[in-house]
Amino acid sequence: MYDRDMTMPLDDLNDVADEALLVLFANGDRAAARTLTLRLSPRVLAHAYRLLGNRTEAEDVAQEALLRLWRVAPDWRQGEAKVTTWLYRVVANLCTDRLRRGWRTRPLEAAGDPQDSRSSAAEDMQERARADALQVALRELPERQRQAVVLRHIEELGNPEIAGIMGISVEAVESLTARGKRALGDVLRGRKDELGYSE
Amino acid sequence: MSKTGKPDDELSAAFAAARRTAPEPDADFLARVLGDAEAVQDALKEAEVAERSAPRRRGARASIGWRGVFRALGGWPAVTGLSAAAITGLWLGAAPPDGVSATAQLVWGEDITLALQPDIGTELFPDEEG
Repeated sequence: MYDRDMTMPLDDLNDVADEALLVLFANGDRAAARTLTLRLSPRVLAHAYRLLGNRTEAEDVAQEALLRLWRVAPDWRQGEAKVTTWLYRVVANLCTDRLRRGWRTRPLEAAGDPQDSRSSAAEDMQERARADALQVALRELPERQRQAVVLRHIEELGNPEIAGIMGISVEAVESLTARGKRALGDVLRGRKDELGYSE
Repeated sequence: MSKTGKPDDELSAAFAAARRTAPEPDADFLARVLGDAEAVQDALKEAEVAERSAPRRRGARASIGWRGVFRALGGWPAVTGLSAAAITGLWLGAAPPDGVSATAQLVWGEDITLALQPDIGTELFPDEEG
């Protein structure tokens, strides 16, 4: 059960739901550990980065959130919550802790190189500038507004799922995202030239 | 890509850019996360092995104590029922102890307590006494 050799080829687990993989994980399945790591890490890291604006800190938060998931795996109650919903909540809480310790004052740190190798260097730069400007603007928002906007407009989750993650009503989510978008628009309008928009 | 300069277009383009430029986990990060995962699995396995190899107490003389009695009786629900029955027995005796009155009153309520008081006749029918 805990052999170093994987009990299933990795490809066979790609269609298995997170919650089922967590059961396999708790039973010591190494392939499940690898599949969950590869599947969940990008999403967790990206969300932490969008809330913190700093890659190093985001990696620490993402690693800690996933460590908590590994530890809770044997006690995971099937059917009560989605693994990703639980992770978004843990990431948000960990980010809040860090931000309250003074992380808002740190400079923005690049997320990394653009991923799309087909685009031109100029397009890459513009894309990066646009994303960085948004990241700066996001840091101007109150925490809850920032979290709601990121979940709705970047992670593209539905309002009911966001409500579940944040522990608030759907109406409250709608209010937070509307106010957050307005505030973001105000900030970004002041940086039109940097973003490459033309009148 | 927005060229109109409308606020919604600008925001939509910025959100799309954020999605396309999302930070990807590198090999070092993935190795750290997977290392954590496998360490937790190893710890779970060790705990399971330790539990299996722990000396079994079955057949050994275990000290029972009050907790053992409590569990053997079925825990709080059973003990509560037993307490009520024991108090009933005491109450129906000739001289219920003072301490029982208050407890029984809590369990059964005011009516039963009044019905079993020794001086109930003098309180309800003063004329017959006089």
